[in-house]
Amino acid sequence: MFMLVACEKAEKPILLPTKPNDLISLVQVNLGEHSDDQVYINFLDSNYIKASVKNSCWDLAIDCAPDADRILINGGKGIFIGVLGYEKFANNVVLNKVNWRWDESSGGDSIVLKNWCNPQNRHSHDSVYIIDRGPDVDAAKRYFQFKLSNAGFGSIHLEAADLKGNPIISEYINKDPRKNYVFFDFGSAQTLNFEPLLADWQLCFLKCRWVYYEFNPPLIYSVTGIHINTKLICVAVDSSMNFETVRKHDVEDLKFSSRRDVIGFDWKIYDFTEGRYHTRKYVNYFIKTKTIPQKLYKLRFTDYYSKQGLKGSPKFEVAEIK
Amino acid sequence: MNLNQASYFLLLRTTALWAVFALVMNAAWAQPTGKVLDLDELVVTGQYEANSLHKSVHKVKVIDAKRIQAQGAFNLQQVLSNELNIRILQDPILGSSMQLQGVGGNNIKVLIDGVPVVGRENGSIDLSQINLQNVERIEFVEGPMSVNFGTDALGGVINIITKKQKQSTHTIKAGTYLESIGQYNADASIGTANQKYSILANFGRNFFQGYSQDPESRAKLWKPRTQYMADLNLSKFVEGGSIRWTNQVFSEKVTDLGTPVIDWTQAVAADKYYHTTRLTSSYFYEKKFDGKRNINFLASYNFYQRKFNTYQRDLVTRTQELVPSAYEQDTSWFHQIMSRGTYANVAFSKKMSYQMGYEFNHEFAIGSRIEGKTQNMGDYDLFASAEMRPFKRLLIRPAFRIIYHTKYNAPFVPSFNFKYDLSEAILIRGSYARGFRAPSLKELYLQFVDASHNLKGNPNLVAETSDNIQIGATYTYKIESRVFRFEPTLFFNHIYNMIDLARFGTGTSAAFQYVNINTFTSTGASLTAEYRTIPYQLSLGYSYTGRKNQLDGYAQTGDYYFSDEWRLNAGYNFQKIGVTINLFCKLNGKLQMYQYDYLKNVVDLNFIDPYALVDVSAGKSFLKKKANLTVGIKNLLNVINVNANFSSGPHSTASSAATTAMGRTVFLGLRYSFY
Repeated sequence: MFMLVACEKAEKPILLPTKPNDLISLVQVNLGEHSDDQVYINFLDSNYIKASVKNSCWDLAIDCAPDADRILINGGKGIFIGVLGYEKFANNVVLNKVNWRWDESSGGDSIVLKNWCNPQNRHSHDSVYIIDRGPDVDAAKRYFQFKLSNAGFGSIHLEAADLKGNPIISEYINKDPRKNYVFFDFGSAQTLNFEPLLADWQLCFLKCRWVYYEFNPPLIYSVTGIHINTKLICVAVDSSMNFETVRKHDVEDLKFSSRRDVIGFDWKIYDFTEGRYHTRKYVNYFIKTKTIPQKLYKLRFTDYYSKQGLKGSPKFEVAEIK
Repeated sequence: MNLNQASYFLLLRTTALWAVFALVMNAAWAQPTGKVLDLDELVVTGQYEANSLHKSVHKVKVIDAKRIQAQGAFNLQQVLSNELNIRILQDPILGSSMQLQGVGGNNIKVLIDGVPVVGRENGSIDLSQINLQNVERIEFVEGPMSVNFGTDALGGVINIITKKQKQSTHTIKAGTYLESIGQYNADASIGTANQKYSILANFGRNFFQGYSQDPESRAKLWKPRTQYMADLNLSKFVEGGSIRWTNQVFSEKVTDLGTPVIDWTQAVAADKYYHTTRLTSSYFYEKKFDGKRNINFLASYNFYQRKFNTYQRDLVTRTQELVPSAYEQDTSWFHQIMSRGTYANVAFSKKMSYQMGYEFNHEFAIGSRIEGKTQNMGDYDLFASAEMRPFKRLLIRPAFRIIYHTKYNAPFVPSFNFKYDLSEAILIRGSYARGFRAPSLKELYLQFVDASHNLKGNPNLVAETSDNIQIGATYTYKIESRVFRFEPTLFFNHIYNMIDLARFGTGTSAAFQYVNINTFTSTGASLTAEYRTIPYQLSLGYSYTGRKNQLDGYAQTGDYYFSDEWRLNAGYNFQKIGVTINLFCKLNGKLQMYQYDYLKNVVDLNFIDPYALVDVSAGKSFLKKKANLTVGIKNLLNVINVNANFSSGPHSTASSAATTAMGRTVFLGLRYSFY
């Protein structure tokens, strides 16, 4: 008879652990099931979401520092850039002859649009670039040729043409000194200024790009990761310390980095056996502010799913280390 | 050298010695009783009518119900894991698949009474879903049987022959099976027949509670499974034949409990459930006329449903809700209607018999991961063969199949078999056969695109085709109550246009698509020696199989890699106390194969280390043979994971272990026959 009724055992209810202390906060960010949203976070604020836009709304990010000419591309959207020539737009671009390039995920010196102007006199080299805005945009608006020039007073002039060289866009992109970046979208030919004020966010969750150079050809992946506010914080990573008991003196000697992708995307891993993401709870991220007085925080990820079980909702614990 | 390898090599040295020792000592031990032992069972697979193994032009292997019971096997995966030239591969969700002569499970056709089992996941039938409670015997043929059974029979055919209610008999049986790993099974049969009609019904339930090496783990490596099966067979006996209507229902639930995520605000887990439903309704008509001619007709409807649901479970309140994501839920349906009819004349002349027939298959796939949500395809085939005896000792059988397929140009499929009786004791069989496998609806029309997958079918696929050559001999020596059989076989398989997933593009445009990329060759030899007497029997087998998996564009994959297998099965009957003890021992040598790594976009030489599976059992009948008890130990050497190296796939990461078995278990099976 037992053979007929044997069944899966009923589970006993789990008792939730008590909150370790009042200083610790639990933050959950909903990026959407496909991580379509780009969300800026200030974890010190109870209203921690400071801005949220669609990750695909922008193509170029223009560094707002007065002395910077860096322009980054939206790798998470699948954007590639190629160089076509100088001065004049090409009359007929042959796409399969373009040498497509991409920015390094660190966003440091190895970016495509780094030397578009002379760093001394800031005159444009008049290079003609081509942008591939990724496979998910309308075919008619996927490719643009463009040129960049400094227009003075913190403004960049962007001219764009279609693949036959017909001019389409002439837009002045104004830097905002209160921000890290302003953004440009070729689709709407508009400058976008959605980033929160410089001091009002630490982390930006977004879809970004990671390149596996150990493969030939390099394997280019779109990942859901984090870019830090490099002007406000720097981060050290450690997986040997106990998150609950770590003290200030334990982390002071760690190497802190200002790379935008220092937290990156591998705080979660995909478990093929379970078919789900798991967070690497044992990895601790220590955040040091660049403000005065300098403060130190510890952070670890605990989940990647919403209360309904939808992925794309990273959850993390964060607390100040006294 | 790890424990699995060490036990493998130790057994390798001792197995052959024990077998030879036992054979030599037989003369001293065995006491001839005068009872005739025979190895010449009747088979039906690929025959014009039920035929003896000795007379069959095909080499058909048979596993009978006694052997299944002695092994404590209740599904096809368990019984085949002991067979020579068969490798079983395990997947925690998709179940068990197999390789036969090195050829993968998507090219092996599984039939129940000649009706194809539908519902392949990742190309293979889950062998653990094929239950054996009501099975009379299993017949399998290595090498293409595409002339006889059409697509998917490129590597071979496994035909499960179920028990039938014989005229004027009654059946009431109940059985139960218990295994220490947490397997609890129960089944029952009830049937009756008079001179004209019969009815037979079978019911069964198998429950497995799941297993993980860490008993505290909520997520189990071997998932809990509950299976229900029932069948109802109605027959009418007519002169020289029968009309049968059989209905089979199978339902399985696989529970994949997720790893808990706990913090001070919540304790949740994502639990996945996989529901499989199979329904088969078949109509058979068999009739013999004047002892020479016969007609066999079969019409069948097959339904297969695979449902996958994910629930977010609150481990505090113990409530759960469906995850509101299209990617976490999926249901796919598969319908097939098929019919096969044959007309045979087994004595057309003294020197010739023949068979001709047709086969009709039409299948429909429905699901959100199928392009256009619904697709269908069909094939309509004619086949014919003749058995001719140009000389008394030579039997030849040319055969062919002509196929019309609704989706692509199907190949012409010929085959040629011969059997030469060198003497009464020695016969030689040989065959050339062409096989084919039609691309499945999934391979043609899969559309599985989400944040983690980009898998696409390919409507331009062509059929896989193969050439197979086999030659073998059978030497049978009978003296009084002793039978000795020795069978060497050589085989060669070459599969063209093999379908596999390949990666295209990089970055966000990277996608996996089915393409005809692969050329596969397997070749090898096997040797079996079987000895039966009273009170014991012994079977020793060895096979040596080379595999060459040549992927288009990868020159380094042109090498053969050979692996060997040993099998020793032995049984001893203690007649005085009525106890039979059995040993089932299978040594699987190191397996090497080239695999395409989807992540790295390279081809790797991968392997599975050697391991040995050893089971022992003892059986005894009670109460005038109405009750039968079998107890035993499975996986005596406690094999769990075997060292291996697998490349990453679109569904899997690179791995350094092959999940092989659940460790040592004790089992008990009890059957009671009221009639």
